Amino acid sequence: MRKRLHNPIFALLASVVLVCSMGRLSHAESPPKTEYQVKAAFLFNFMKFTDGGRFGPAEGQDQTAVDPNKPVIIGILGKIPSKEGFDGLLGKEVKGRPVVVRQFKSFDEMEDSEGKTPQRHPDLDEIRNCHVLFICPSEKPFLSRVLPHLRNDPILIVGDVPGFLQAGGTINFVIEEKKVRFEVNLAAAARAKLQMRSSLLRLAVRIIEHDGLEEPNDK
Amino acid sequence: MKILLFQIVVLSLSLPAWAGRTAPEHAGADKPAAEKDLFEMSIEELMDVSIDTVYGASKYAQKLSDAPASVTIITADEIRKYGYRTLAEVLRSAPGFYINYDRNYHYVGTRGFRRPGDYDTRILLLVNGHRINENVGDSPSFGAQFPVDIDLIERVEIIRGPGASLYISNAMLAVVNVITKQGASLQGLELSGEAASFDTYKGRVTYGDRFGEDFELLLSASTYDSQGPELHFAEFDTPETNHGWTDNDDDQFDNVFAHASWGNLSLVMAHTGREKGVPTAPWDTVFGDPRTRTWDDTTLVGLNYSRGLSENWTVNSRLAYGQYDYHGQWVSDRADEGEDPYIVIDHDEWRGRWWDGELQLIGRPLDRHTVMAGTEVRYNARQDLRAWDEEIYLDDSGCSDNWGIYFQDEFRPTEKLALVGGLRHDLYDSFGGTTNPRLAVIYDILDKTTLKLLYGHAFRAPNAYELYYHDGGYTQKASLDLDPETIKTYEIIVEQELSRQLSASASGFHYAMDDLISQYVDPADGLLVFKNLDKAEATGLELTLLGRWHNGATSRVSYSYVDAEDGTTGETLVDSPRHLAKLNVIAPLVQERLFGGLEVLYDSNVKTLGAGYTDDFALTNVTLTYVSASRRLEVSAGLYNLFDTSYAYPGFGEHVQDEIEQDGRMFRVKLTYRF
Repeated sequence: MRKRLHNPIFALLASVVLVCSMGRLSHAESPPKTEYQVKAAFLFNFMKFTDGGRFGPAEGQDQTAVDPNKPVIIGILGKIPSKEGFDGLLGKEVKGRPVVVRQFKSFDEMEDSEGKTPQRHPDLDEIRNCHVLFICPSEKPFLSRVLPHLRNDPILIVGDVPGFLQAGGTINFVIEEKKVRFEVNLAAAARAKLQMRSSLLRLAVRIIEHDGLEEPNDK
Repeated sequence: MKILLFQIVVLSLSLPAWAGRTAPEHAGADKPAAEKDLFEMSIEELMDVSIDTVYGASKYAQKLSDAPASVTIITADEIRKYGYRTLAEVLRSAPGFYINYDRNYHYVGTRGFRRPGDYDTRILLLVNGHRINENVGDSPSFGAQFPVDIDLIERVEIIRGPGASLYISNAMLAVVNVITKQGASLQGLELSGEAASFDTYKGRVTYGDRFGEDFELLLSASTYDSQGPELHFAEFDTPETNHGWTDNDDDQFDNVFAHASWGNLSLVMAHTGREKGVPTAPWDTVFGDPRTRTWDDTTLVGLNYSRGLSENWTVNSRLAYGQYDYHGQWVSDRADEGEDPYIVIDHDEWRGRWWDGELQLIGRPLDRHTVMAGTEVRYNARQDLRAWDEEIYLDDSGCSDNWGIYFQDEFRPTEKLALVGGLRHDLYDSFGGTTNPRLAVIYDILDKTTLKLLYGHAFRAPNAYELYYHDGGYTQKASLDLDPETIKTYEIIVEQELSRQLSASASGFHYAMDDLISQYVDPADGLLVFKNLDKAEATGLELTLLGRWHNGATSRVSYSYVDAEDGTTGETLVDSPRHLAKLNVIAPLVQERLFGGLEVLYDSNVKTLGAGYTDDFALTNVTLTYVSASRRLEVSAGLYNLFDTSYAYPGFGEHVQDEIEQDGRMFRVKLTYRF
């Protein structure tokens, strides 16, 4: 009985060496990555593949329309449900412009003593200056108090909850088989005069062309 | 020689994994030697990054490294690429798990514990959080009678160690939670067909889609039929019993499944009806008679509702209805030696109907504390046992209920330290109350190293079969009064991130089981009866290495050692392999198109009931999967037991056979098309 154990043990050790060496020659991917680290990286890519608005000149516009020294502002509305948040974005650059992250209070934080939250976010004017706005899942009940106000602003609005696109968001994250995916609302992109490159759109799991904020005179 | 062959197979399969990286297909992938961080990846690469969360271990979505348990997750992708045919095969690939198949049912053992004749009552099996272990004999269903078709499984979460502080009875050794697929992942109609050795065929029709933002539906039906091989049993090799040959190994099942979700509400309905011919002639039945067979019908209807109450609080609730019908038919010859045969057909039946509801609250009442509190009620509307031949000799009808309340607090005094304390109290009609605690310390010693120290208690309530079964006082009487079985487990786990691709874990455990319910012959009347008799103790070690690469290659190597013995005699337990080693590799042979899945499983020898030993064996399974460019077509071809190794599992008390030979080389071809 003892003799036979050597072969399997050798085989096991050989497998371990094999698996480890597979690693040295292959590419990076850490086993579990937190959800929001991955979403931050997606956000980074969304900015790279969007033109128009404040993202640099779109096709046909002249190159002087945008000041390269102005930073790209990412606004976060609400609290990101993970300790690292979007920290990975700090210090990055998009199209030669540095990224700046601005945190806006969640509606819950502005609750008064009677438990009421404001109908209009007090920092709405500041929010409008963002290039990208990420609305945290915690703000789901308050989407109707934010998205209609931002309808025509050139902001890429990204969310993380079911129903986000229908409420007027531009891009929404979904999780499928433990991987992050996204869906796109072309009506919102059109209102914001943003052009999303086809290389980005073809990776979306779903694209909608009409949403709940549409009005008859929209194109 | 065989080992060398498998090394060559493994090496050749992994070569493309190395090659795949030198021919990048998308932008941003041209950094051969350096490692990439997430921000250097292209969107395509990001879409391949897996995020791991575990539902089962603490009943709320948690990062794997935070869960107070040792967990293995097996995804639908792995199930397809390794060609797993049953849930038992999925579990068998997990470190420390092994199976037994008596040509009737599949059984699963873990941490050295798998008593022959036992119905695996110490592993709790869940589907979307709803309990599958039926309420008469507590058996989970790991084989063909499992109510969810294997193709509809999204992932399987295997949580080792006692889970009773969160889950009711049976979570002594492990909790297995099977999460089913949702309609959105299908986006239409899917047809699948399989053909395999021994005249085996399977067909499946599934439809699933998402409607609007909130509503998803998945409907499926499948059917399976296998004639089974011609089997030879040396123990029956006489002219009167066809020289030991029989083909009564057929297996058929029909499955229907539905899943719907609407916002925060989801409904799952699953049913499998299965019929199996029993070829081994157990219980002194007539060898080769095709009428000796079993039928199992398992049904689950479960509702889940989750809702965030506020930013800090969530409520989860569920309601389930379960049904289990078992019927066994056994052809015996009651004639004495030398007389003409006197054939009697013995029947036994179990019928279980139960309702199960749970309400749970998870939240953050204070900074750094995450608490979970809940209550569960189970009503056993029916727990019937019947047995008859020419007259009814057992007709026991019962109902019962039990109730539990639990609480757990996860306290994080610092970023790196988590202290988890949980307690559960259950009240049962049959034996009264039991309280089970659980404690865990989870410490991120270094950036990439996590240490977990775990301690827990769990129990298993005596079930209806153990309490009430008798055969009219012929050989067995009902016990009527039993205490629950108990287990105490200590575990220490170290998890280490070795590199971006590799992570490793090492765990050491010790458990002591007491009051194990076993059959024993009462000297007063010579009848068999169940009593809280036995003790078992085990000490062991599990080592695992996990790898995940961007190109889709994944790998897991594990080795486990366990010394499991009878607490009273000190002897090694029957059907308890001391060493288990497993290798699983998925390698993309042609990027995104062709995948190879290799599995090598080694089980060391085990003791049998007849005080012999089986031989140790290594089993090799290989599956090739082809996915078309449009991703609509998937074709797979698998070879199981590639080297035609002959191996056997120990037989049980009812078998003449001390060891039951398993199948030799088998193939399976499967085609799935999505419209």
